[in-house]
Amino acid sequence: MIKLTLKRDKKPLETTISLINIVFLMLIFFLVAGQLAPPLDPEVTLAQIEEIDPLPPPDALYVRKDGALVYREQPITAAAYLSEFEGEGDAEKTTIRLAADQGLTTDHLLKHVAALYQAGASRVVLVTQKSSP
Amino acid sequence: MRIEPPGKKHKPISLTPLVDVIFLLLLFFMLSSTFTNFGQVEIGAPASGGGTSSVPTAILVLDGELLRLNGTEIENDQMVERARILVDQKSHTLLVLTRKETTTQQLVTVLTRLKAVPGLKVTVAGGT
Repeated sequence: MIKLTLKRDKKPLETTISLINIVFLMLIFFLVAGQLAPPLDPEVTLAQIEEIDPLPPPDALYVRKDGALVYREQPITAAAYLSEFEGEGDAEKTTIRLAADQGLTTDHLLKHVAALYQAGASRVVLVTQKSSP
Repeated sequence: MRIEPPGKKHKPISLTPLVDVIFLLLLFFMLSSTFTNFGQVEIGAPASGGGTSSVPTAILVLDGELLRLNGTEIENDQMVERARILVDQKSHTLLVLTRKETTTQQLVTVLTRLKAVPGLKVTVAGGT
């Protein structure tokens, strides 16, 4: 009688172990393969290129297709963004990461870039993504 | 003498809280990580900035899909080759002028391909 009850206990345990195994493997996969990223603007589709100069997932300044400047889902102006940015780090090397929508017309884009340089940015970089084959 | 039954000591640890925590971790990493490969393209100060930058020796006009280098229309795949010839002819500064209908995607594509030409300094300006 005692032996019978012991066997019943072991069976459900083994199924949970295999479940944990698989969940654990998935956890390791996502830990290693993914990169933690600040949320992307949902309305912006980045320009795609084949050969990239890699960049970690940026907390970028977004330009939507209609030409609106957006930072962390809030509309902002170039001067306001730069004054906020300079408060955080060194003012000498202010690299602005500008994530523009791929369908944005270049006169809008260049207007924003000019405004950023005028507000004191030392370098402006366009964020792109690698095109999927 | 009282003898305790030996079976009680080897009672297995409950695995449910462990599964709970691992599952939460998995969910967190699945939702907060990304697989997108981000890249960067540097865009220089606009040419209208002032007299500090040198006068460009060549002009590439981007008009939608059309490319015009120093006034003559060129094909997309000829561009890098033409730019190399320009550098060989001691013309190291190129002004990329964009017309209204050009999109960011087209500008970015041209800029990345021009980056492959060594010794060429590219500035971008908006036309009317």
